[in-house]
Formats: sequence, structure tokens, C-alpha cells
Amino acid sequence: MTQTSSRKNEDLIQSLLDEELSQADFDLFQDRLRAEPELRRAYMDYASLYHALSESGEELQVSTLEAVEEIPLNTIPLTSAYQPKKRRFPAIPLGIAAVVALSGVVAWYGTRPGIEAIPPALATFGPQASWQFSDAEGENLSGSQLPANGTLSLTRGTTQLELAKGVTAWVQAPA
Amino acid sequence: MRYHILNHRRKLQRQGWLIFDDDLLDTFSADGEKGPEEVDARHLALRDCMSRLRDKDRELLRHRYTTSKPLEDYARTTARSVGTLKATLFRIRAALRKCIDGKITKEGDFA
Repeated sequence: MTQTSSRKNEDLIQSLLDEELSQADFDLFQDRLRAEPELRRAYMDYASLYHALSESGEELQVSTLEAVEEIPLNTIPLTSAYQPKKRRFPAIPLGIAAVVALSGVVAWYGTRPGIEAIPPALATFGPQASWQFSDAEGENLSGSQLPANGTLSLTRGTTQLELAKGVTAWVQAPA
Repeated sequence: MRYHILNHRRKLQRQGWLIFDDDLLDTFSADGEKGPEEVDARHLALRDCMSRLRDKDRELLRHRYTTSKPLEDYARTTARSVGTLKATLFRIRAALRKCIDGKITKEGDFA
């Protein structure tokens, strides 16, 4: 990859993450991602960087914590990754980054014919994280293993969830 | 569950969200994900790299990532054009990525 094409790729990725890519350009970008491992790696690097900058930004902010956001464990792929604060087009603030981070979860759920119960998950939290576990009855829990149908309330920071089958998901709050 | 996820994805697409196709998500998964040690290492590297930025570049990042105010406001405050600020943000993020990669490669554990 030449320096010029590398620069163009970086500009393209940043435009996507800055929500400035059209649907047509996004479709072309997807086609290229399928065929170019180096571009996927660059995309992942930038998606991680955008995510980390958002988290670092929170550390700089003086304001107090925002309202608690409940994240039911069995809906993490649906609610925490994509929920828009307001409708925009094209709109992917942290959505794309989170989509990638949660891609294993989506793929895992998507390829299973049917799931009777959500298996336990192991949670690891970042240094700035503030959280609370509760079970299906709403009782607060300690430890790092979430029970089936349990709820994780993440008010701040990031958490890594290790689900069954080796699937890992990252969630950030506030959304 | 699969039905709910697909239905939700269709709803998001109708709302104008850009969402990667399933097969591409599978490809990302197959590429492998960063382990928690590397995620932590990259976070620490980012902090160090950010500390090396010029104050005004760090302030631009702070505005971009800690406020919901449009870039136009910051452009007026700093008497710079929006285009200049966007170009600066591009360069800062590219520099941060390069700096982080350099540190991670130097440490050798995750390269």
C-alpha cells in the first residue's frame, strides 16, 4: 500500500466515523473492506481510537454523571450498540465502532437456530467504570459473573463481556 | 432471537443508520479481536500520546469529544475555519494512531 493510498484510506475511514459518508460511498467502502485485510485493520484501529477518545473525553469533563442507563444483558447487541440520541443521516456516531465490537455477539446470535436461555457472562471493567449487577428478580449482586437473564447497569466507562463460545463484547456508557 | 435482531437492524437502517452487512461482521470476527491486555495497553498508550499533543490540539479534541456543541461554535471562538479544524482533527487522529501503533509495536506483546 502506497503512502498516498494509505492516507486516502485513513481519510475515508475518518469520514465514515465522523458520519460524513454517503450511503453510496459506504456501500463501496464495505466492498473494499471485504477484500482488503489491511483496510479492515486500519478501520478497527480508528474505531478503537474514536471509542477511546470518547472515553478519555469523559475524564476531562467536569460535569457530573448522566442518568443511569439500564442495559439488560439479553439485549446488549440491540440497545447499547445502536441506540441513536437523535435521528441523523448518515448517522453512526459510535454505532459503527460498537457494531464491530459487538459483531461477534451478533454473528453468534445470528447463526444459532434458537436460544432457550442466555448463558452467564463474565464482565471485566475499565478503570473509570461504575456499574451494578442485579439478577432476574432485581436483587443486587457482587462478583464479576452475570447470571442468565441478569442485568448490568453501567453508568460510566467501559466493560468487556465474555460470553459463551468465546464471544467478547465491549459496552460503553453513557451511550 | 435471530428474528428480533434482524428486525431491529432493518428498523435502524430505515432510520438512516449505516450498518455493516452480516457477512462483513463475520469477516471482522474472523480477523480476531483485541484481547483485554491489548485494549488496556492501547488505552495507556493513547493517554501518553495525548499528553504529547500541543495544548491547542488537545483542547480541540476536548471540544470534539466532551461537548455536544457544533464545531462551528469552536471555530468562531478560536477564529479558525471549520475546514481547518476538521483537517486538524484528521491529522491529530492519524498522529495518535501512529503513535499508539508505535508504542504497541515497541512493547512487542501485541504486534
